[in-house]
Amino acid sequence: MSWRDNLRKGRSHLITVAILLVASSVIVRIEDSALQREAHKPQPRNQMVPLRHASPDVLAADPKRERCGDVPSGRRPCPDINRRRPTD
Amino acid sequence: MNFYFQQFEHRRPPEPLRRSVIGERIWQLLAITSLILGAWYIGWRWTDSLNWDAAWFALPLVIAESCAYFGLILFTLNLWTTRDYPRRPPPERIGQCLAEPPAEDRPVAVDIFIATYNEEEELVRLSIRDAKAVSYPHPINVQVHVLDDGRRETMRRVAKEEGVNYITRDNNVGFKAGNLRNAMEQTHGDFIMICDADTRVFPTILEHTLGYFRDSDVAFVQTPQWFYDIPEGITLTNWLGQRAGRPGRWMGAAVETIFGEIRIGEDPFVNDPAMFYDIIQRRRNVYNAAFCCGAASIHRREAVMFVALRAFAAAIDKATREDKSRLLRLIRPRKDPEAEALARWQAAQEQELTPYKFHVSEDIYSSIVLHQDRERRWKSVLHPSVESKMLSPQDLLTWTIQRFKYAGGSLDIFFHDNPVTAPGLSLGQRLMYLNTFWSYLGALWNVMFLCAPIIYLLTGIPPVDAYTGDFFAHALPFLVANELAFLAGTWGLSGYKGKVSYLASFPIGLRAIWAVIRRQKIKFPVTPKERQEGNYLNLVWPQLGIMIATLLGFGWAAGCYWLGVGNFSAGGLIANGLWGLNNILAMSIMVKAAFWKPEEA
Repeated sequence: MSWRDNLRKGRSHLITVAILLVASSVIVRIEDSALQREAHKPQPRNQMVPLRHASPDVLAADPKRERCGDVPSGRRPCPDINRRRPTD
Repeated sequence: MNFYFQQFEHRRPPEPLRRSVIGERIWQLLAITSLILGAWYIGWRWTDSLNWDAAWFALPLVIAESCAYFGLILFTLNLWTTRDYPRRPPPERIGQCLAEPPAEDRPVAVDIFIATYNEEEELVRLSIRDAKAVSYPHPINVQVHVLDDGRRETMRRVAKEEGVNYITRDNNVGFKAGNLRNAMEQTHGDFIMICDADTRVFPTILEHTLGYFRDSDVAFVQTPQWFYDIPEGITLTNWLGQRAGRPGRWMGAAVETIFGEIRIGEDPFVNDPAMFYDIIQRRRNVYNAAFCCGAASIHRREAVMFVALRAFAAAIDKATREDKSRLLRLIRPRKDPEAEALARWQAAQEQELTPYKFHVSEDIYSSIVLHQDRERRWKSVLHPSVESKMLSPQDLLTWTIQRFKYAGGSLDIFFHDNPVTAPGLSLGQRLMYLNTFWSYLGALWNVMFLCAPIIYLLTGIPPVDAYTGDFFAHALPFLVANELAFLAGTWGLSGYKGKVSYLASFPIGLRAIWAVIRRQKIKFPVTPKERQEGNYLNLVWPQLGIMIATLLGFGWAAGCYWLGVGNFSAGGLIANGLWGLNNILAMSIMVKAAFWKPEEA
């Protein structure tokens, strides 16, 4: 079997990866935006820019930032709080 | 006589997957990466992500994830490397297959057993003819025996017409295993080839497999089972063309240009056994842990006798004192050979009182007994090339019976005579058998994975702290690495079928677990070889229920989110919606299978 055929047989893995990447990126952006709105923070100029790309000043100003303090700084993604807890 | 499968006679089996050292290194690197990221993710799930306000939901899910992760470690070990057992030339004399030179060296003798119960006689005739056509490069003594547990005169006549031996008995004790045992008592070949009524061996099977027995420790050789009647389906281009004319063809062709060939209606029961034989079983050769699956396997008679004796000894060991003395009385030596034969037969009947009621588990149980022996150190071999063809289940009822036999038999051993903790097996063998049993227990955590999105969609309660960056930062690297690892690890095969089949067969797994825990005696009808007519919606109601509940849940959650009611977030809705969609797609394959009918030839 050719390389192309083998790749075709394994396409479900690649499709899954693509869906995972796209979906997670969309979800993180939506949640970030919602979080920004909820925290009354100024939105990034482009609404679609996630918070992890925001300036350190913005992150420092977030009172709930410590929730993701345990994430390695190199991949610190965003303020992570459970704003949708049932008890909220 | 016309059979539906005659239109597939021209089909040839696929070649075994070619091993590439570079490909294997890539797989191993990705697998290690995936396991490390997985450990990091699971650790984070336990320590930092649980929604303790909904512990009733969060805890079972994280336990399910941990169990699945443990299964992933075992499966990765299983797939780690391909190391085929070295092939050797076919032996000319029996002395070449024994550790000690025999008193009289002679050509090898092989008994081919074709076990039947109620299958169509003409179907068995095809198997007999193929067995008779087996060739060998040296003089050899091959005897074909039809083992008829149906005691049919018509079957006897077919055997006579074909010039092969006919063996029957006056009871059905032990089902197939009992049938084989009865035949063993009446035959004397050095090797035994086990065939089902529909097993059509290729002429080369002995030439390609007897060489392994030059190693006198090799107990059996299992060859891959290949279903030559699996529907191939039609391409998406043709399928859309039939329904929407030229625009449909264009659309199908465009999709297939991007994604490659897509077949509709292909393998409706996700039977394709290549994943099991060419990947899972073959890669157990390195651990000496490939197990016997019955049909299309060749056994050293000495090894089979060894298993029988061990089973018999175990039966005596487990028996009550009264039973024990009865058995010992039965097997004591007698002067009269007829009386001794009768006593042996009676003892064999007693032996049926072992806990192994599921005849299909005899295959894996025999393998375990052989592997456990510390003095003899028997070896098992999975021969990578297909050497026979057989028929696949043609309806959901048959498929369900078959899967239930596998699950029930294996779990019966796990719960009642667990070899993983018993002495004898090497570490690799223990892990491989644990992998088999663990995969059958997977129904328990698969239920959780199927219900989790439904629970969120109906209640708005997330099992994790939040579906935000932190969650995806931990989950995504693991999930992506895992997909890429198995793309490399199963290179050349579609991993989707196995995944779908594993997830969608959860009701069978649950039923088997429940039956085995309750020590329920289950009666197995013989797996039919021909299509059973009927509607099998009753067999897939759990899958249908999951689909409906997920759809209703999504509608409910979307409505609530739109109206601002409840605790739904857009992120949670998308994440669980996609998870639910994945579950629906998996379940839909089984539901579609319930309605599947072969196209008219």
